[in-house]
Amino acid sequence: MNNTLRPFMARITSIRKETYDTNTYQFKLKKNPGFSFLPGQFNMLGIPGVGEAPISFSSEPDQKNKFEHTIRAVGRVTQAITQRKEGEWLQIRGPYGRGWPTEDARGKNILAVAGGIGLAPLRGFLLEVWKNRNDFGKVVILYGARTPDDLLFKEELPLWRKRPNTQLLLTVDEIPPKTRWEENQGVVITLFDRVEISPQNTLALICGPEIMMRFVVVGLLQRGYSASHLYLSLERRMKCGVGQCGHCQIGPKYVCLDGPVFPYNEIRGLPDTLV
Amino acid sequence: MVKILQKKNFCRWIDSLSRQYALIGPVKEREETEFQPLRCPEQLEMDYISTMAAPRKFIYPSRQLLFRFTPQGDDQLITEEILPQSQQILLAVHPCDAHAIMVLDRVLMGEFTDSYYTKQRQNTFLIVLNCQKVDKNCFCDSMGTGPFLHSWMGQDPAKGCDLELTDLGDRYLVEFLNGKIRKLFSFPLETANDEDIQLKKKREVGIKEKFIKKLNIENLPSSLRQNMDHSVWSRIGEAICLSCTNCTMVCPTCYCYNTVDTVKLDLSKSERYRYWDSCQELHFAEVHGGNFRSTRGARLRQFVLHKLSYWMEQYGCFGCVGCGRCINWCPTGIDLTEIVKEIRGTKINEQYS
Amino acid sequence: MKKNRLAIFKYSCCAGCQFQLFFFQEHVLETLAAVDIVYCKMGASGGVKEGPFEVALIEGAITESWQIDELKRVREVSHFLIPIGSCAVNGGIPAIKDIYPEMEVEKRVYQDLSVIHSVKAHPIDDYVRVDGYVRGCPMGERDLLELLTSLLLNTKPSFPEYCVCVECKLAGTICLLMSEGKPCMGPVTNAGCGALCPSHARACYGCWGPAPNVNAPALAKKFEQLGLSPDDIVRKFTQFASPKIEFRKGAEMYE
Repeated sequence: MNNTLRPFMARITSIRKETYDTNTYQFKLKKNPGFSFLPGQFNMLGIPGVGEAPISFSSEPDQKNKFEHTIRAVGRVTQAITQRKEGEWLQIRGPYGRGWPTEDARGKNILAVAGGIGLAPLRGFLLEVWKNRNDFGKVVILYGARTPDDLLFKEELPLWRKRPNTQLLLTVDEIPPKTRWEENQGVVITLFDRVEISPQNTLALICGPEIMMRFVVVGLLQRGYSASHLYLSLERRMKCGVGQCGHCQIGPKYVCLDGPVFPYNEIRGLPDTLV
Repeated sequence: MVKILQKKNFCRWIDSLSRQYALIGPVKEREETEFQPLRCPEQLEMDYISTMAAPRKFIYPSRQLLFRFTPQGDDQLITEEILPQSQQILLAVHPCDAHAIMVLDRVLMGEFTDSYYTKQRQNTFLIVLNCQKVDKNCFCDSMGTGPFLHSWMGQDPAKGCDLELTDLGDRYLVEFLNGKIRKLFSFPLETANDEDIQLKKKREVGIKEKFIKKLNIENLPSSLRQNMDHSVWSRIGEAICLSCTNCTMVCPTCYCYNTVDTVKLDLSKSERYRYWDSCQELHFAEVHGGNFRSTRGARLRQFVLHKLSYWMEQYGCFGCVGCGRCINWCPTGIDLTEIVKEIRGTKINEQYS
Repeated sequence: MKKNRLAIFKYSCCAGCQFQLFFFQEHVLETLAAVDIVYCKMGASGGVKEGPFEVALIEGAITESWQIDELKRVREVSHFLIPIGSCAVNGGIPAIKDIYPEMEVEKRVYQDLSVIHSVKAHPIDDYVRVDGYVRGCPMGERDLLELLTSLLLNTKPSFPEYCVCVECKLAGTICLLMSEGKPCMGPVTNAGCGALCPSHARACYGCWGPAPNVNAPALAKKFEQLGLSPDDIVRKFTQFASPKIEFRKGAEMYE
């Protein structure tokens, strides 16, 4: 009998600094050669003596035993993780949960709407789409951050913009003095009017703070997107990842088992959520 | 197989089990009766009504060491799993509590099995004692889990319990629900006759008439779902509920846990524990930057709706077995059956249906 | 490895929390190995009170104006500043006086009031930003250990912020409030003591102060039903944390 709570050890093979409080960690597994995951799923990452936290994959899934997590140091565990260096290890267990609807998305346009750290779980999906570019329609990415300094994957974003049949729109809430910024300012829904995509045959994949996702959903429904074409990735406190610690429940749903990516129709009307 | 055990032989019979197994049963403690490891069979309080702590704590301990981690140099980590080792018999568990354990089986031994729970559960025999008394807050009769042991919501008791006892006055009716426990007894029992079996039925009919507390479970999951915004939640939440967590801590089916790591001051070793957590606790649904159940009303609603509504969708049964503990031990007298009555008595808000 | 510099500053209190550092049983030697205690009046005379400090522990409530000035200076030179014990965290015993006019209290003790410059007792976080609380009366061993290990691991300490009822239930201690009708402060009091008093069949006194967001008025009403007089109820909620809004709400209805 496998102990579901028992972590593996994973070595940090490289660390990329994204912002002042966010890094991307690449891992390689020592054991478990059969490890595979889907974009949107997550791992429990841990440090002995500190604890564990659920973190989404931010890399594409086809590299065996190699994966990335983009981590913002805001909690006890994530702050401890950011003190680890290349060559050191973390505890991991996973992958857990339900990822983005990659199969449903085939043949459709993609509207990816991300806020802040919410771009990380979408990155793996987008990389996967571009790798199989002909299977998907147009890709539009709307990405909002607090300030230009808070943007993730800053080196990759210009490359994303050059991808075929792809539109990338950026926005920030604030522009600090002496900061160069030529893109939009305002919340992410202020980009909606510039989206060059028709609501028909388009899946909207949304990840960000829940209050942002609430307004994005309202805005998309107003613009004629079908509720059944909206997908959201939710964040909740989790201790187990396997539907037993109870923390992540929203109504009858477990975010760790039934999510973290939910079709909007599955969670609309549930209590204790903003969406 | 149905047998008869004379009460005068009861202690000797129980004692024969104690050679191989730790015995746990209801024992007098201060003003209450609580499940405790037995020192001798004479301690057993066979006519108890209820306990504060549910017997779940002997299968799913309130605080449990999961792992011990010892770093070796910079590169290695020794991970020790601390699995429970005891072989035990839970004695005189009432049908509601027995069903509660079988509810926990659905949660912790489902698609993902919890190794710690499963190991202890497989090393636990369950001896059920049908009830002879009804307390003012018992409503197992309404839920269908008691006062005598029967199948409930697709759960065959023979698949989770080992023995069923019924008090017939000077003797117990002993029903072996499966073959596993029979070999543990050191002396043979007389076979029960029709009269004994008829007497059991009569006793069950008699006790079922004594219930004061009732809960109408018809369409309960959906009618609660239609009343998420009912005023009862905020009214009780703000004025009456203490958020003390007593309801969830004494609940026999609550399974939520939190984990905590401790580390030695010289950083040579660390340990990962888990302990019962509660949805009534302020920080339970907190994430960085927000708390999804920051009000007591929202937390109370989570408790009641999980037990009486969501659970049905998640596990195909109610999460409430009608033991009445959350009512008995609420310092301010909150009663989920009264909440349901209040909701049932009001016009359903169509907007949320 | 460079050792963390730790200082302890004492304001109005019994100094019991400071002594707790030396009554830290099996952990005393480990503690001394892990940190440099550079200023601790009860431990050694002298010491360096100027800083900088990795961690400053503050015991006692603020009851005089010079304490405010020093506290603000200590805040500026400390990476972490942590109030320790009920007086520093909640106002504690010194704050019992807060429900009376200040001069009335002064008169009770001193004949010549011209040399007295006392103010109402306030917890530390009324004056400066703090980085966590080591609650207790005296401060709890488990929380102190958590603070020290977090310091060594460079993580945020995680202190329990639930009520004593949780610890009673985890320990399997029978609820005194419900079983025996004892007026127990457990439902509103922050955990960390391991439910020490209830495990000895004594109702919780509330000495660790309120847990966040507790419902003291509902418990006060329960005490009234149990037959406590209004004076008794006020005393329950003003004994250890009278400046704290969570407990004030329980006392207010009966004042």
